[in-house]
Amino acid sequence: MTLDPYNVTLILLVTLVTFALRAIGSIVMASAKLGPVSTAAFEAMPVAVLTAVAAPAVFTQGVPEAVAGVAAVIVGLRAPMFVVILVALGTVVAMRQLLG
Amino acid sequence: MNGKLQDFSAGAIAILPVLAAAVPIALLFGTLAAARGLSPLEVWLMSATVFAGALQFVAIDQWSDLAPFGLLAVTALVVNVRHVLMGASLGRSMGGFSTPQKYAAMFLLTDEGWAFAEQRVRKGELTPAYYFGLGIALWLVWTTSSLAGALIGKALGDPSVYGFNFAFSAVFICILTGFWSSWRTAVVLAASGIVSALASLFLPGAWYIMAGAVAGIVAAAALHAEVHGPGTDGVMPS
Repeated sequence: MTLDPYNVTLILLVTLVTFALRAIGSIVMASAKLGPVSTAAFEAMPVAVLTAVAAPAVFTQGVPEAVAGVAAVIVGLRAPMFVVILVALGTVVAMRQLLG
Repeated sequence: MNGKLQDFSAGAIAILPVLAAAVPIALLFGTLAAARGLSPLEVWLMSATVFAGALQFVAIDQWSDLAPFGLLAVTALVVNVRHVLMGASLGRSMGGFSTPQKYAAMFLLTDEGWAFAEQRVRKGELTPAYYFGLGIALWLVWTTSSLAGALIGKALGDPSVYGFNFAFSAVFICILTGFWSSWRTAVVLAASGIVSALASLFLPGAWYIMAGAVAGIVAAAALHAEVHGPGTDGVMPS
């Protein structure tokens, strides 16, 4: 159990940048008044950001991931999240076996 | 007090499936970080203070003895610049939070916790207790599992064999299905998904996230302007 000053400095640097990014948005926006177009833009943010995070991992990694992504969408419309995760992981593993 | 406890538990319970998915991923992170020469305590510290899954993996990948301060700072900026958008969006629904609570909430901001919080906003009111139920539960599991990975990870083998590296994608897809409201959602989805997938093939690092996010947001704004005509719009989000 050791702490290396060099490693700790790097960790704190990454922490600082991350926290600054997290804090800026909420503080700046707390005082802003929004028009209708900006409101529409803000309401789209959750879908836009989550899709942007997930899309490459689903559609550019290969066939197993893409098939598992489609399976997750279909199951996700009805089933709870825990089931969706199991189905997605099972599909990835099965498809990898199937395709060698 | 009872209501607060109830909200806190509701948050912690809502995020349970994510916790299950986070355990193997944090174990993997701890294993990789330890292999890069970080001590278990340093691995725990990084998970506890940075608390950002994707960024931690990318940062560890670039860890070296060559003082990569600038590189790591820019990496953190690129990978997590989406948090500005997320914080801005959630900030509009944090009227019930005191200032210290807001800072604590932003410290605990993650993709998963944020998505659940935004879902809660759409169903009713987001209370601090509910948010911290989400955030603290995930923080405890993430930090503990990272530490465990650093200590015993080598004995566990490669988690990608079990498809665990796809677990968070499944979580995101599941959350996305809950955000479906109309055909406009499909337009945002398509714009963001196509641009981010293409950008991931051509842009370095994690710029694809911002490229896709901005494409989806612009699509939503354009769609609104198209349907309702150009209005007098005050502030544009930067």
